[in-house]
Amino acid sequence: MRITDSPRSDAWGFFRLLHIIRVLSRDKLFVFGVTVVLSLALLSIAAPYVSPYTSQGYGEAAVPPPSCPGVPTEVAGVCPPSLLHPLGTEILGRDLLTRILFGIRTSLIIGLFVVITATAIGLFVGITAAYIGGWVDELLMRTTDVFLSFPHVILALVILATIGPNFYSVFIALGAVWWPTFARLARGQALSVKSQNYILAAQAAGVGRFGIIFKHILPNSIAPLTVQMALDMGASILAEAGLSFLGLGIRPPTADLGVMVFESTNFITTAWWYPVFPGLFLFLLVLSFNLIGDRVTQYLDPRLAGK
Amino acid sequence: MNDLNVGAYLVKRALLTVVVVIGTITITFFLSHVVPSNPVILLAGQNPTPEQIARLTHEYGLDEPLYVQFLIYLRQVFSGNLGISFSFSLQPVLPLVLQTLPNSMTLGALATLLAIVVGIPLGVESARRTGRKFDSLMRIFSVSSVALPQFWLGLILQLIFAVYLGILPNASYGGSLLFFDMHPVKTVTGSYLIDSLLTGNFVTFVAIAKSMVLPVLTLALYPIGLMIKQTRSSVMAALSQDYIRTARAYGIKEREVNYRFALKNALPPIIVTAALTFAYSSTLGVIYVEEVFNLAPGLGFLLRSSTGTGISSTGISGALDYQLILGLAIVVGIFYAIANLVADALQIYFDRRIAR
Repeated sequence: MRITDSPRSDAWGFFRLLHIIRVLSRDKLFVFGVTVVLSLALLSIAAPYVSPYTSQGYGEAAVPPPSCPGVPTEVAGVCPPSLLHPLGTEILGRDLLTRILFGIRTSLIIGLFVVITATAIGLFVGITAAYIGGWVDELLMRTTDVFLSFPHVILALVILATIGPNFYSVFIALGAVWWPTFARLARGQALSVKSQNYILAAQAAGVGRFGIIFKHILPNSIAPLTVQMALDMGASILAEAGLSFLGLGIRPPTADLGVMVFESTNFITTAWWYPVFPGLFLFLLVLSFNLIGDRVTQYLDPRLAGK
Repeated sequence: MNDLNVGAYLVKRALLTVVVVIGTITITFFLSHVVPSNPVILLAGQNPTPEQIARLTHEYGLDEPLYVQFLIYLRQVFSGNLGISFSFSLQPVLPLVLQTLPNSMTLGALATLLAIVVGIPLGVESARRTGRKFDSLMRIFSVSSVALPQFWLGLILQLIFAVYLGILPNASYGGSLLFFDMHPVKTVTGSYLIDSLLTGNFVTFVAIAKSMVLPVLTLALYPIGLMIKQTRSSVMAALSQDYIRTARAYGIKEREVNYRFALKNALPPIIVTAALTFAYSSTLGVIYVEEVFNLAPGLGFLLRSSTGTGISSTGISGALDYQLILGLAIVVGIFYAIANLVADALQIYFDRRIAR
């Protein structure tokens, strides 16, 4: 190990990670969260290959619509759960389970993109502020404050209204408003890393500015952000569904849980399965991410949990 | 510690509020100019000649450099001119938003009240029983409440209470879209619930109140979870202090120790949560709830109309009402800024040390 290497490169970090996983694997809620997230992710990835209704998942209407006796004609196509359609069918006669699994794909992809974009912007802003300091720090952090004191989703809504709702605009809009929390965290972390001895050693050894930022400050600032990423996966998935529910997010024919809930509002008195299932899966997905984040936070900071 | 400090602190916070508001306006302005969306085309009506477009472009200052446009925009906003709405027969935006605010604020206020009344006692009990069954139940409840999509929760409550049990109205103020044609309410404050009470119209009041039960419940669940979490953590911090041990040693009743000593000292962060809950519930939360329960007029209804997906008799259907959306965003931004300021002031009232 050279003197300018940061301490993360030794094996200790790996064993610490193993230890964290071992402790958390005894936590029922954490295990529940991980299990649900993994199984929903796997199911939604596998959906196009195993579902008998793949084309419906991509948006094609069912022709002819499934017929179901006893259902009033004005809701033709919306059939209750049966063996062929375990969760029933929806407004265009499509299999609800297939649509939901494809909707989870949309949620996960957008959640991932939003969180990664937000982390990247946040790291850039936070580390720049911490490393340069002075008026740059002041300016960047006050800007962050303005963004923080303003409800994310309203801003995303304005952006979406500006660039028009579609798949890409949703994560541009959410990514653009989601970074302030990450910027704050990254700044705090970068500030504490900046004054460590190994940074001073690296500076003394003549490592340049960018070398210090990319080889030392950046890798050591990312770790604490991972918990926030898990928590924000849930929150951004929820925000995306909300925007889509309002008609400003994903547009049909792309499957989306928020859009499905919106479309189901007219069927509340006639088809209970239609509003219930898409929202239930959305809730489960968000809850699981939040549980993972919550348990890890609790583990890392037991003061919040008491004893 | 004297009142001068408190005054100076409040002035500082107020200035910060102004900065936030200007920041908000700046963001909305630059957003609206990133993409060449041309409001002139909408204003000019059908088949405009190039001359008409050029004239209108000049009239609205759209041919000026960006910073000049920004200054014009800033001056307009501060004089209360937020533009005109295309989806509401070219009415000015600001009065349009302000008219709908009382109804939305009533929903937000009731939800906040519910969150305080239910959330604080549950939070205190949770803090007293750390690590026990009740505490972990409350923990699961608050994590779940954050994960519940409000727009879906509203539908589920409708399904249970209106469709299956049939004990509460499904949607709309008073339970039907035609309600106000049959039971007109004189406008005093602009909030149906308060106006019907003020004008002594009790039958109407009861009908409106009944139709607001489910929306308020939907709106309140997430704040209740938040309140439990916040109360729990700040009461727990207070309970570990020496003066609590002293109070217990003096034989003061447990109930009094918890509520009069611990809770009182734990209040400042709880108040901030309450103020932000109010801001959230009256703006963003209410948008979803009004949509699900078909409550109009309100912010949600305005937003719906502005995105071109709502029903508006005079609107150009399918077209975005851009000025209205920007206006809504600015009003919401100011609402949040004021709520933050009020929270700061209340915090100081309960704990003067903060101003130091």
